Amino acid sequence: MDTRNETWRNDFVLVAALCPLLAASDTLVSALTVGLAALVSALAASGIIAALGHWLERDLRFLTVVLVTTLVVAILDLMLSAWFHVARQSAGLYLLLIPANLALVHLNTEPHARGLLRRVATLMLAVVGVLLVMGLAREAVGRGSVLHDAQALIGSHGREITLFRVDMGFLLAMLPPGAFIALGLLLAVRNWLRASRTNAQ
Amino acid sequence: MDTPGGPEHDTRRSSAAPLIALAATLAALVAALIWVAHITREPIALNRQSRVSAALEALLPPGSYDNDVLADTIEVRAPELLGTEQPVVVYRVRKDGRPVAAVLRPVAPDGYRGPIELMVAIAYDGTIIGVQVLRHNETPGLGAQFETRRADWLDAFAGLSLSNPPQQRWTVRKDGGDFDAFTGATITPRAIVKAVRRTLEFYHTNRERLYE
Repeated sequence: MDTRNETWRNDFVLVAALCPLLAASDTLVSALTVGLAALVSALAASGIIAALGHWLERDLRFLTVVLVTTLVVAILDLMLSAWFHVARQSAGLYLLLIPANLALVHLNTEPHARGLLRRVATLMLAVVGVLLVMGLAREAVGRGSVLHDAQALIGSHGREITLFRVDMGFLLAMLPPGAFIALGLLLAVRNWLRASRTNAQ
Repeated sequence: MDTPGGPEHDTRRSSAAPLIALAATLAALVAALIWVAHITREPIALNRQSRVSAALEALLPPGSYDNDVLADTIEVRAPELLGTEQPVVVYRVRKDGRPVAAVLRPVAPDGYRGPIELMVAIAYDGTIIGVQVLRHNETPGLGAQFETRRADWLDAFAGLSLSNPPQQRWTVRKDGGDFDAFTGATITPRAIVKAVRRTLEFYHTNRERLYE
């Protein structure tokens, strides 16, 4: 596979992995909650799937991925409801989309690839990174604040920083479509950087 | 050493082994899920309880009652008026043994994204003390504006009763009523207003029974 094709494939997997979680990036805190939950459950589920690795035939793979990720996310969801219930409340709906997200990731990685765990970890770290950038940007634009609801995640140390006072300012940035617009802008910036680098060479 | 049954035995093993490994893994995960559900049951119940007591605290001014409201409850069933097939908890608020108010937990079944769990405090004479939303799935920034942008919206219920405003105006402005809707979201406020009015109806016909 030539590198151009490889890059395109990696981009596709990243965007596919991001999409179900995008809407949760309306504030930095909910982006962090969902991102970490996705990272932890992805690692746990991939660990189990990697351990089962050579037992699994292609036909069984999809079924296994869906069942294992669903169970792992259900366990994580219970733990969040018990010990981080405020954060769970704001991100709750999107946690249940994590299995869909992980199934997409696994379908697009080679079945018996060595270092499955490492690839999933790299990918999910990228997802967390993008979610955080988008959470920061959307919260700043839409709400004029940073770390809204931070107490939910890190207790009394969390303090909301107000950048400017608005009444839910730019509502579009906070709503789910704002997430896709933000992702589009982010991709545009990245492509621009990449293009200017190739031109420089 | 080759035996006649050897190869056949091998193929059977290779088709059954993955299934066994899969079943064992899933059984282990289900066992883990049951265990986690067991150890998290108490903290989850506590979280729910703390949300209820926080809402009660917000609704009832301190000193207006002297009984243990969280313990002085009955359960009622009225699917038509209270929006749920499940029994609805009613907290009785008393002072010096006399009834002061009742706090009901009705459900607005027709929210935009599923049922909205409410808490409605009604004074003994039938006027509303306040309304709180306990749980909802409304869209952040649109249907859920009652918790951010229009945080004062729920306050508009205080002081109203079944006859104030008259029944035909107990709805959102868009339907000819007295209540504001939210920018871009009518369904949520409509559902909440309807649920509150029906709760008042329920209170009106069942008042004496509620304090027994």
